[in-house]
Amino acid sequence: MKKIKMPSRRRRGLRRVLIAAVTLFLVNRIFLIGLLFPIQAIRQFEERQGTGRTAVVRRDRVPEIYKTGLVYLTENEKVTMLSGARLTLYGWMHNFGVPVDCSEEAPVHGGWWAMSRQGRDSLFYVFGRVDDPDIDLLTVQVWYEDWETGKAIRRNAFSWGLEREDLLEKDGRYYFLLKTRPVDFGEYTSSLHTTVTGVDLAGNVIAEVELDQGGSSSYG
Amino acid sequence: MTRQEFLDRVLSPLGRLTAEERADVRRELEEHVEDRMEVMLEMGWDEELAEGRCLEAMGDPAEIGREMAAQYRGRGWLWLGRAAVALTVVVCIQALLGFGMLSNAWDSLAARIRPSTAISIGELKNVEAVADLDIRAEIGNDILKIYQVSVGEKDGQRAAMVLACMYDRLPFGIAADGLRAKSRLFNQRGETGTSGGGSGNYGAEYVVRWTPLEPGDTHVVWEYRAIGESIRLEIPLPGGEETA
Repeated sequence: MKKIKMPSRRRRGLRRVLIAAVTLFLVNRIFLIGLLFPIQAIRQFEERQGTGRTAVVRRDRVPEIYKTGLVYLTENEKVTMLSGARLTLYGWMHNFGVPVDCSEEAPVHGGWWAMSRQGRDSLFYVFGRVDDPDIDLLTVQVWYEDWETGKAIRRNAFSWGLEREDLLEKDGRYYFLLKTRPVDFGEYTSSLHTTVTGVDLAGNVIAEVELDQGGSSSYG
Repeated sequence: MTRQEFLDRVLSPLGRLTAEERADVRRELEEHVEDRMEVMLEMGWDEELAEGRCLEAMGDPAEIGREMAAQYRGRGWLWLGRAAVALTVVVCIQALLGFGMLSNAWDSLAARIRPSTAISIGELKNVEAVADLDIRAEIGNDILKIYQVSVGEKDGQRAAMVLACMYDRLPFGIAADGLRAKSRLFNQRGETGTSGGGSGNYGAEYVVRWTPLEPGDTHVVWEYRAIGESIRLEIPLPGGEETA
């Protein structure tokens, strides 16, 4: 009998996988949606910010903002970026973020990102890169000006102390990522100032930087 | 044995086949029998006799069934195929829901072929000269394109107005945001206009910038500054060497 050749499961499966891959590629490319992985959303944000390709230093979940919310600390030689992604009806989408320009020489580069959702849940991130190898201790102070008495009094909102071994290392560069829930400030995190101080082994302050690169994202 | 009985016996060891696969097998076998019968009928055979001989020639239906069952072993590819179909359906629904996103793709193409001049409307009065340009600079993954320069009057002062756009190097790619904030236009004395407009989306960013001119000016300079990037492009003014 002449052999009857039927389409095998493998061939049929491969054909369907190929159709799915082509459809996915076209929708990703032309509609810019249908992303399967959160890192693809971060890549879109990189493109939008013009930072060039960055590598992931740390990933953090932010269920306080969105159940599927993720925050990525990423870096390359000239940028340290904190950005977010979440799963939506359209696949993974970026949730904005803050790129910090590290292209000019400085002991510490950093920024802040305040996130809030419907005025209820909020998060405040401070992040950055430590370029001065002599910095052994890093203190991060988030403060605000209190005008209750008629003149400005600097009041501490949050503070952290980080030793060199607490920093995150990526490709020989050192990063920090700090998070808090600014319950007392709610959506008014724009009144907060962030100062980073670097101290060497002998206890001398060798760097003090007020972080002016930052942003607030309020989600509906 | 009738054709129906033959087919049933072939299909009986193929219990694990999906309904679609069973239908495919049945259709293929029937077509096979039909092809053979057609030849025999053309040779003058009686229909009933031809069918009987065809089925006989095909061999033992149980054997055929076993051979076919071997072709359909393993459920991995079956599930992978089903997952691929589900993914295709989901992605197509997302595309339908996100139909408006096509404007990004359109703008990405338009910016490289025929960038919009609509952003310049109402900006410059008493226009003396307009020139289309094609000055391009690569900035990261993007292309900055200076595509039109005009000389006229702005707020009672002679001025040059320049239109620029930015798009990804690859068609349909994402253009970097913030062209408006990152761009400035200088005259030969380093002065810059204070206003300008812009618009854009993921496909392309547009911006209009102006700077005051004085008699004898021959060019203006576009400056673009972004993270780790800084470029300056000299733009010749229309109307000859001098504008006055």
